[in-house]
Amino acid sequence: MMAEFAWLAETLMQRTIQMFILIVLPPMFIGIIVKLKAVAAGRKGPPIWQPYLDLARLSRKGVVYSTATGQVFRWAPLLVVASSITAGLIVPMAGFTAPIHFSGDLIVFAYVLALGRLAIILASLDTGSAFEGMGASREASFAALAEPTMFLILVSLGLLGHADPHKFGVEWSLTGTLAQMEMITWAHYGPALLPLSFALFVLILLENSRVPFDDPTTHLELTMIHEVMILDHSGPDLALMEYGAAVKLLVFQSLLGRIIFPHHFESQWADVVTFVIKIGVLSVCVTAVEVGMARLKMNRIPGILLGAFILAALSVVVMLVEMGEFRGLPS
Amino acid sequence: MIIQVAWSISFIAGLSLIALSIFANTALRPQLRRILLSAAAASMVMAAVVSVRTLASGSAVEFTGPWFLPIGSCAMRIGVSEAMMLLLVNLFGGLILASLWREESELDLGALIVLIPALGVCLAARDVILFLIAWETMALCGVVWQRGRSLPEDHYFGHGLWAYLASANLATGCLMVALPLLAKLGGAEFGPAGGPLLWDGHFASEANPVTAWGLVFLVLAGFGTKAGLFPFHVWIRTVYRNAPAHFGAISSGLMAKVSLFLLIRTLIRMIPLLGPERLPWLAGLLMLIGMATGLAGLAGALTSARIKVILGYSSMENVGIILIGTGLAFWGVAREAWVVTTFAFVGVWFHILNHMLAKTCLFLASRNIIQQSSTDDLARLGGLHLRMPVTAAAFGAGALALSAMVPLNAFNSELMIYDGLFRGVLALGPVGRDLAIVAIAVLGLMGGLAAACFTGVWGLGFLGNPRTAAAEKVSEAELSPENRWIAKFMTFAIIVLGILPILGYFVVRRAVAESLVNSGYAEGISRQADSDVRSLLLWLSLVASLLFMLLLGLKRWRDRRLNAATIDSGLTWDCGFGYTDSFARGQYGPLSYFDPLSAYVSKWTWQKVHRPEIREPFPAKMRVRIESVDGMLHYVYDPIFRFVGKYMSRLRWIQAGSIQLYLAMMALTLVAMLAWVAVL
Repeated sequence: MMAEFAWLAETLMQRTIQMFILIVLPPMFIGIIVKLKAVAAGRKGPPIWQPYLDLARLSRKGVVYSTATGQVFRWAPLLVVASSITAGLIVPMAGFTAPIHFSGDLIVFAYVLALGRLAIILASLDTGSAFEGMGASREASFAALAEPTMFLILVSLGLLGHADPHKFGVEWSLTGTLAQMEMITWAHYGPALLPLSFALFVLILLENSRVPFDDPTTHLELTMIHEVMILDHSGPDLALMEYGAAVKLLVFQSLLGRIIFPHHFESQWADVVTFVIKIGVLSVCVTAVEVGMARLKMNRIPGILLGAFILAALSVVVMLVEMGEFRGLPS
Repeated sequence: MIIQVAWSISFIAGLSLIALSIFANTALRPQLRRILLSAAAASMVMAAVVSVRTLASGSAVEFTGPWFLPIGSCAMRIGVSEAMMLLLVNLFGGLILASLWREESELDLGALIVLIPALGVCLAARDVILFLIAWETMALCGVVWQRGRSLPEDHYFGHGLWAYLASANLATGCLMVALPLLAKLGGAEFGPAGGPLLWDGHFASEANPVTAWGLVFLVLAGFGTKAGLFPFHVWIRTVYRNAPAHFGAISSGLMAKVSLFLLIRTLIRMIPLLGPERLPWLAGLLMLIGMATGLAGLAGALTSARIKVILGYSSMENVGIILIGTGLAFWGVAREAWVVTTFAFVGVWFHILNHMLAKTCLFLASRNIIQQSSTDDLARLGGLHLRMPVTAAAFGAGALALSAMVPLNAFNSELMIYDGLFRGVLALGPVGRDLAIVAIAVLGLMGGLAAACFTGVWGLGFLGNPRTAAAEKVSEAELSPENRWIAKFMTFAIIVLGILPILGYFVVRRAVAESLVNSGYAEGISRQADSDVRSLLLWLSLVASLLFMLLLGLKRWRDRRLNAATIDSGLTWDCGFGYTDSFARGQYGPLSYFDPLSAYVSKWTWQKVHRPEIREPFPAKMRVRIESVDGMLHYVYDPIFRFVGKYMSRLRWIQAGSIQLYLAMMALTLVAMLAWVAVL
């Protein structure tokens, strides 16, 4: 009885920590990126909790709705946050298993995230603005071109989950793969995990509208993708859009963080601290890209996506080789 | 017996309506029309009830009707798969009939009412002659809607009819060769004396390679043409553009799905004919054709601005998805990976159901807007969501479902195919594994492109500001109550099947089991596979419920915030241009929206953009004109047809009108037939 109670208490604690990370921490990492960028540019920059203050300020404000808009525009910010959080519940964080995990969850993960993107695109078209239509067109196009890369990454991760059925289980699941990875996995599957990590990093930059695909701080509408699509949102709606974007970034970073440093500590608190450090380091990487290079010309983006696709395909092939799938073929 | 009565009533009612449209011009016409339509509706209900009973009992029904021809017979069989399709055909056919009840002419209604039993007979016919008669009846019904009623700006009068006739005849020609051959190989005995020509016999041994692959080609071409399979899909752009929107619902929702069902059922029956060595080749071929069909469909959709054409091409994309699933199932059969096959068949049959629902909903919604605005050109629409909210919601539900969005119905069936592919990576052996990985990437690309396509169609057509006066004056109040209720019902069904996909599984479960048994797995759905499928579907329900709860919670939070704040309305932010009114014509149009993606496929679709040259600072009003044709039509069919046409024209002297020549031809035919009988 005591053992069951202890198990329940531990599970509840893990879930609480996970929900805290997923719901409370995301704006902090956006704050870290903004702060680091300012420091790199020789400025002092706002404090890292500035995004919390911005969200609080926006949520107290009123809203202005365009006369062209209808229910799609009203529901889109809600969908963006709901889809990001739901996707986050499928990803194992801080060394814990994900609250939602089942065989096939990795496909659901990709499509739940796509739901948020679709909501933003439709909301921007609902405004009837030429600029927002332009952003919607770009977002829809680049996202479509990135989908094969996303799915090859998931195939590669799924294969990793099946590499050692005794250790990993047999589910095609993110938890089945990620929560049980160890540092030793890199020793066996490093040649596959390396291109996979790079491809996933490129996807993180694209999916979260970061440099070199988009510039979240630009003020010129013609160069925007994500920001131009939320030009007409204000007050709590804008707060939700910004918050949803922050959650989505954290969800992707958790995925990559778990792959590049899959070490488990004895103490779950050590795992939590390591997780926060990992996300912090990845935020530094995102900042380094933003500081080190300019946004790409739109017509060069498909080329970068093709590169990411090749890396993901390479990862799948190497993973199959490592698993011995090509053994026995005539040489 | 009940089903025969139902079909007979429907057939007679349909023919009577057609006769009424041609001959009767009496004061009794409205009453006659109502009586005939009621009889047809009652017969559809009867057929649906029989289907449900067969589906529930799980046992097949066989019956033979009277027959008056020397060859063939009226032998029919309704198994659980056929019962499932019959149920769907009568359900969606009934909804289409209800939506046309008041507005359409007796000729259109009569054709639809004849079509429903024709489709039923196509599904149930065991005899080749009976099947071909029903198949031709189906094709002829389709001609009724191709009689040149395109929108005024289309300039497509007549083209659709020719495209439809050519493709229908080519398909029938292939089936006229393939089905008797299948009957012969299946043990049917027929000769000059006639008799039944059953094509559902079991094949005792493998056929030689030429016969086997020849039959595969003929069956793919015969059934695949109507289903819109690559490379037999070339009729789609012309026919969908030319025909009224409800033809789209009938063609894509009913005829194409029945053709696809017959294709898959025939291929399953042909497994022993191909043998274990050739089965992986067929599976691979189907997966490759599926991928090509899906991508070619999306290429066509992304280079069009007409809702009907985009929806037609989108059907092709979904046929591609279904074919990928079928190929996967066959590969699973070849490798005896029955769990993979089970997931693939669940995905295939469930996607047929989901696509029928979503596409019927989309075409009927587009019919509503064409009725009101007289156009389906995205560049002339916009802002319909505020004027036609029910229609916009129905179109949105269908569009988002076919973009595979969680938690709508089509996502669930696509997930089954995805899951089968993921499982197949480790279970299908070297080449199957590689194809499964490629198919996953291609399915991902197709999903992304479909999402881009449908956000464009819904976003440009229904959201934003109306681009023209025609779009501004539309009103939902002018639609008939039936149309509004049908739109609501279909929206509801899409959402319910999305949140509770297990309901869809219950509908298709017996059909899946029958497919497995016919593929050689006597157990049907194994306990393990059944448990895996149910578990996945229940998890999906949980994810959908969670999403809804989060949405409602967030809405409550926002509403509370907004209760204490000011809510203003104004024009869309104008980026400093100082608009005084909504800049409706300045919105992104279909050409601009699809441009980043259509640029990649413009060579394939032969897209040409005619832009008038701007020579002065303030030019007069101009229009950009875009032309696209299907790449397969342009690069392959057109040259072949021109070549054949050039040489066939030399035979025109035969049709010179000389009576002596015609008499000589008749005499020669008679001699040839006598010689044939003598030899046999």
